[in-house]
Amino acid sequence: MAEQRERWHSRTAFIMAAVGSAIGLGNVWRFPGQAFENGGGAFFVPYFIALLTAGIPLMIVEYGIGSKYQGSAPRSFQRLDKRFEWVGWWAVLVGLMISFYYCIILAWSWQFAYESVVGMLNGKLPWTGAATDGGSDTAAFFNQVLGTPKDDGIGDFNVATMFGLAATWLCVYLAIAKGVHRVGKVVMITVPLPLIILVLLAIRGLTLPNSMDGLSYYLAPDWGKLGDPEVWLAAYGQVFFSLSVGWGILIAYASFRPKDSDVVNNAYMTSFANCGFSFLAGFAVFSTLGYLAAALGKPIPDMQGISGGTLAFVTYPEAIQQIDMAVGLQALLAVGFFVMLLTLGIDSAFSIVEAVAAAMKDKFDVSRGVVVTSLCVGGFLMGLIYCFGRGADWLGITDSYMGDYGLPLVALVQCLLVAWVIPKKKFQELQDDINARSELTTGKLWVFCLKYVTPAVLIWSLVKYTMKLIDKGINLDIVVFGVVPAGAVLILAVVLQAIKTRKDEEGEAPDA
Amino acid sequence: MRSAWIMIVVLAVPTTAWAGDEPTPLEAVEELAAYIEKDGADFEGANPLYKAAKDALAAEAKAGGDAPAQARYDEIRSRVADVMRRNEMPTSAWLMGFFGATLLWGGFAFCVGVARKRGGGKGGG
Repeated sequence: MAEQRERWHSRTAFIMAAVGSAIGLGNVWRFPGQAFENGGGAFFVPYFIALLTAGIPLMIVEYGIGSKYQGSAPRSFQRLDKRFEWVGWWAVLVGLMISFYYCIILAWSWQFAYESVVGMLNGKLPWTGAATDGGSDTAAFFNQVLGTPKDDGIGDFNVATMFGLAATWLCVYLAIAKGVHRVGKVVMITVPLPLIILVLLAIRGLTLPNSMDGLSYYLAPDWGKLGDPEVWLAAYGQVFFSLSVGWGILIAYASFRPKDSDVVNNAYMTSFANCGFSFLAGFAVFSTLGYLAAALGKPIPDMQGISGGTLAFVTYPEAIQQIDMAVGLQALLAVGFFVMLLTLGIDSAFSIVEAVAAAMKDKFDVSRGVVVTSLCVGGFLMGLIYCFGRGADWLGITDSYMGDYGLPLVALVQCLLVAWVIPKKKFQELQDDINARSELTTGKLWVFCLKYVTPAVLIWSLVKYTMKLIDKGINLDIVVFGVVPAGAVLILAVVLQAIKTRKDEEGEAPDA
Repeated sequence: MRSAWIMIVVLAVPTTAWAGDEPTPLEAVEELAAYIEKDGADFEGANPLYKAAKDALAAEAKAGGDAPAQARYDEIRSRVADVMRRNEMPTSAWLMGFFGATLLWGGFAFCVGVARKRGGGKGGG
């Protein structure tokens, strides 16, 4: 007899977990920079349209599939259509590959947070005086943390990063080892805490001199940009990137809800919370950048590192260093910022691993403890490669192939599968099922978005991205850290579908 | 078949919208210079022109550099910074802030309200 599926202890726990998964580092370091680059406040128009026409429709599909078929991504796709279990495996394996390097970024955050605590105790910011050549202290300190080699070698193995990595994987293990019930409790801390810290950082930023200059760059609309297709592509890209669609996480999370649970309103709540967080992050980031720009005597567009890891690990710490207040308070601000990054990232990290764990558990006769332990130990070991001095470069390559390319490709395949490949009757059943138990319902617009808008935008962005990758050329690093993992996850997904287990036979019908 | 046509149109519209003449770096920089010479030059006018000039210069630098445009840009940069650093946010920025906050956090609050009102009977627990 099939075992009883685990359940969230409340709807709030599910929403918090989904929001925690969606809100990650990108909300802080990617969205504000994207808005700035793509028309300031005018960017909110395509962003909101992208959210309504692509992000939310795809999220409804994932919630709908997980909830109806009561299984992880591979199991749900198998129940949707036997031929497509591999699509679910592909999604979760791409996510797993991403978790290997995502945890390294969290390891750097641990290091910065630790050094900031030490700095707070010693009355000195850790990066003060790090530059010996008159350059930026924070950039020099970040290079020290990374152990960036001066030659073309792989650099030294960074033991501190390894400890940070171990701490990250330990947190992931502790969060998910006991099942979704524990996850539901953990997210009650890891979701509100960064929001509270972000609000405090935004208040601090807004009370700095010249903060309004910074906000002007973030919010003042450049309406001319709306005619630029690149801006629209950036908006759709940001929505896909941010909402955790295509990873199989939302399918797994929804499968832990009872079969009669709401789908549509949950998707709206998750999406709005995620995007609202990104929007708020822009206030914290750009108000502080306004202050920094004035302190450095140059306009914000001339500043380097307005988004990405450089914003988090170089520019923002530099801004903290510039703020006119006691060093202990500066260090406290730094601690708050890096704790926020950690709590933002950790629930995204464990949601990825949970999606894989749920898939393994649905397929094989293994206990949760064994699966989670194996994944965390394996993830830690795989992450060690990025602890070398050249690790940040390799991380960038893997991210290009997995995060920027692999995920949209998986999302496209999922979308085409549901909207075009499965029989119309099955698609209609899915929509009817979603509508029957949702507080808000889907209609023709949802179908139109799924059939045309979402695939069109994904194809367009993938074509553009392919050109970009071709332009970059190829070398050994790209093959080892980009092409090989990308190919390997696809092959492994097909192999995993080919392996037949006892649970596969049981899995023909959902064990509601 | 009709679906295929719709797909082609959806793909073709943004692709064809791409067309448009890009200003040369010097033209972009001169347009910016002319703007900031005007009385009442403000952030909203200067910012897009400044970004356009910067983008054009960056693109040109990739292709080998445009020294006269870069020199002119450096010359006017501090005056641009003065225009753009007046520590007051344009009205349109306030409006977009309000728009974003209302749609996103307002949308979230609305959905929570719907869940509270109707959630009881539909897997609400």
